[in-house]
Amino acid sequence: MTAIELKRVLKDSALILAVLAVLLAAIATGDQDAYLAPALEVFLLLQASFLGWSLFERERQENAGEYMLTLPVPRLGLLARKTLPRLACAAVLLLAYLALYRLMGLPAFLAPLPFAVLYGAFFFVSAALALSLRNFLSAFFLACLLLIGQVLLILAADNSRHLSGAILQAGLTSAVFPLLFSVMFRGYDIRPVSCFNRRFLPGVLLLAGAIAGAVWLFRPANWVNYYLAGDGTLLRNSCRLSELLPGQVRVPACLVALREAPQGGSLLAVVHRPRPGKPCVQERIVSLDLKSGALRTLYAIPEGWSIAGGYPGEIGNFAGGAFLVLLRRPGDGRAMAVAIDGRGATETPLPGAALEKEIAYAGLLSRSPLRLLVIGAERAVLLSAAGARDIGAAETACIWNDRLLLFDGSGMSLFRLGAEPARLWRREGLFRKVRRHVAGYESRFVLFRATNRFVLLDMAAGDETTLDLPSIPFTYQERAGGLHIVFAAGPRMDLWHWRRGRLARHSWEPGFAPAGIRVSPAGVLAFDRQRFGVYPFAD
Amino acid sequence: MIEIRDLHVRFGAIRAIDGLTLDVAAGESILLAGANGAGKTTLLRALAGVLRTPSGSVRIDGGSVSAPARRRIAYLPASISLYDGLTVGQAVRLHGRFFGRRPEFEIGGLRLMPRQRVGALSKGEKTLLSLSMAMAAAPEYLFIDDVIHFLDPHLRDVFVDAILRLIGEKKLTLIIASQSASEIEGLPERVLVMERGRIVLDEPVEELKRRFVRVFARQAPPGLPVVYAKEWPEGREMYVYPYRPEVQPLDGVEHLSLREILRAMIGGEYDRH
Repeated sequence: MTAIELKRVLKDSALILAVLAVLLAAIATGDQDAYLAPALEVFLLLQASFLGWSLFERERQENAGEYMLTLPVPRLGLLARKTLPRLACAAVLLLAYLALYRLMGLPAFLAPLPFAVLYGAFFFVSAALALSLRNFLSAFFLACLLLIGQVLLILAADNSRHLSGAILQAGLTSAVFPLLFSVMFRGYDIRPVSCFNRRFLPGVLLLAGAIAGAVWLFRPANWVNYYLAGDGTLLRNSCRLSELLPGQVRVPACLVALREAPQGGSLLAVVHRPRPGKPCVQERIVSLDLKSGALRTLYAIPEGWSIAGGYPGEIGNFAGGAFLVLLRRPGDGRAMAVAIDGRGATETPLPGAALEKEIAYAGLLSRSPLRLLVIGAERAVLLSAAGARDIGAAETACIWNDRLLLFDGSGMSLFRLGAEPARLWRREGLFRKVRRHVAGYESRFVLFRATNRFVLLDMAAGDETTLDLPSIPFTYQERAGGLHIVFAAGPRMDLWHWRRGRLARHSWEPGFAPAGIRVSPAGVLAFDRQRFGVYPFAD
Repeated sequence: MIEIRDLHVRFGAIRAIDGLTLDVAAGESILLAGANGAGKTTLLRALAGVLRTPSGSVRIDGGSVSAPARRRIAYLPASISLYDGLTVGQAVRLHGRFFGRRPEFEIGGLRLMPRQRVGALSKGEKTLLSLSMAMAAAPEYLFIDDVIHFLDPHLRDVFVDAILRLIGEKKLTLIIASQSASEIEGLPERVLVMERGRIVLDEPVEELKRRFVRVFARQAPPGLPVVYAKEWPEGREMYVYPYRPEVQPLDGVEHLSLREILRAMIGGEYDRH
């Protein structure tokens, strides 16, 4: 029977082999590889599906089903005898394709392993549908739904998954369909196929639903933001969930840090509300207890309003027992300062039309009269109820208490922000602030490049020190009067601790290639969606 | 030995076999009769292992109809199911690989060409090929569904002779379903008549012939077990079973052939419907 089946399979495959040969010839001789090679993959998947689906096609066409069932072979043996020749043929074609893939360097859509898994999955899932569906296209489309649908669901549920990983997972879990078929085939008999389908197809649907449910239920949180608080507590959030570490306290809301409370222990944060297919909207300002995860709503952000930009951790300011933050309504250019204290929130309208569209930083200078420093994409201004007063051009800036250092295209200027901004000095030339990636604008120290030198300016003391650095640092952070400089290159980080003229060097590998790095006074945080590592700063 | 206990087979709402219990001794030859849809094919399929029986039991020589048991069974389905795409030679080799010896290509003067496609054979030729393959394996159980009507009169004789030869050679248990009892009158020694998935008559052929009679009368005596009756201007034609002359002696009693008995039984069944 196996030999007869093999002959039949080879006969059926002759046409397919001819088409494959034509495709390969076209790829080898033409310049349409980019289109033809993926077409070849699709064609091979179609062929795998056909080989599986045609398992009982001969019995169907030749009215031999009853004869087949009289043979003195157990049902599973029968299934094996029918499947093995097809499987061998499919394996030979797959190996031939993979060999050609290597030899010809085909610009395939999928790498060899995921393609092989998908190819096998199409074969076995289609074989599982061989009895139930008389129409090949129906079987192929259902196999596509069960496999490609699963791959898409895995990708949708886990934003850190790669296509290859999703295909491997879908391919492996799809083994339940041929397994179910094997179990059901033990009870297969001469009854109309509708009798078999009445038991088998609900099982397929149930398994597909169970797989989809499991993928969705056990999907990872899909962390997108990480924030390392000054006390070492880590806050990470996805679109639907936030988590505090250590302790794994979970809060069912998307929380983005605004600023830590001066007395410590809590963090002011903004709750984001996800909208399908649209950017999130800011819903309310809350106080988050960093130990218990308890949330207390302080202010509901009105519809259409949003907090004016800044780095998490340096948005809004505490002053006189209140938290003050700048809000804008992009639709009509309105702005207001919201002061939140124990009695509630006070809204003070401000002339927002004078502000730039993009705001990089907004910080409070004084509450009475209300004055804010606002740094946009191009300029820094003082904002008050009377209007916006220009300070100067600002490609980037550094702020420390009442000191403001602005870098522009032709030099850098240091200001003291009293009742009136006063320029303390200006230097013409090419100065480039070392960008404090992911660490914001507020810093006592500022590291900049003056031609080939790296200079460290202490804005509080006004001292300048030349540093001998091997390359541009990724970021830097002061702590207890010392400075931590972070160099990041691939999975390895070099950390320099500079304090009172002495330098200590360390290196750190978090164990994975970080997709992002954050620093805070507590240390360096490296993360890759679901994984993270913290290198704590020592004094 | 075949033992069937409380067998139920349903196709959706239809009860094809409804609580059937039956014992067949080794070496018995049985004619299975009944109207269309009575459950004959279903019963044969259950015996051949082609149909799974979740309710009730079918046991052959004390075991279920598993793969090893099927090696001792030959089954000729009414649909004459064979791989039509194979040549006669390939079909024979395939069958031989599973069941043992290979059959001859000549049966009763009809020579089948090994290179001929099975699909190109006539129904009668395919029937004989099936029988030839079945007999070559020297089965202990032969279940034949209603295939005789595919054969011409000569081949029917060949068919019956072949089965008789097989019965003579070894202790073959035969169950044959047929609507044309006249051609196989000499084969069965026991008759089963099925109706709506149940056995309504189970008698040795000789006993059945003795106790099944036809009688003409103006009026049937009260209590006479009339299986089937026809009205004629001159009186009633009544088929009586079981006829017990010692209880109700009748004049003009006629004993019938097996074909006539079955026709009356099946006609009576339609009457009852």
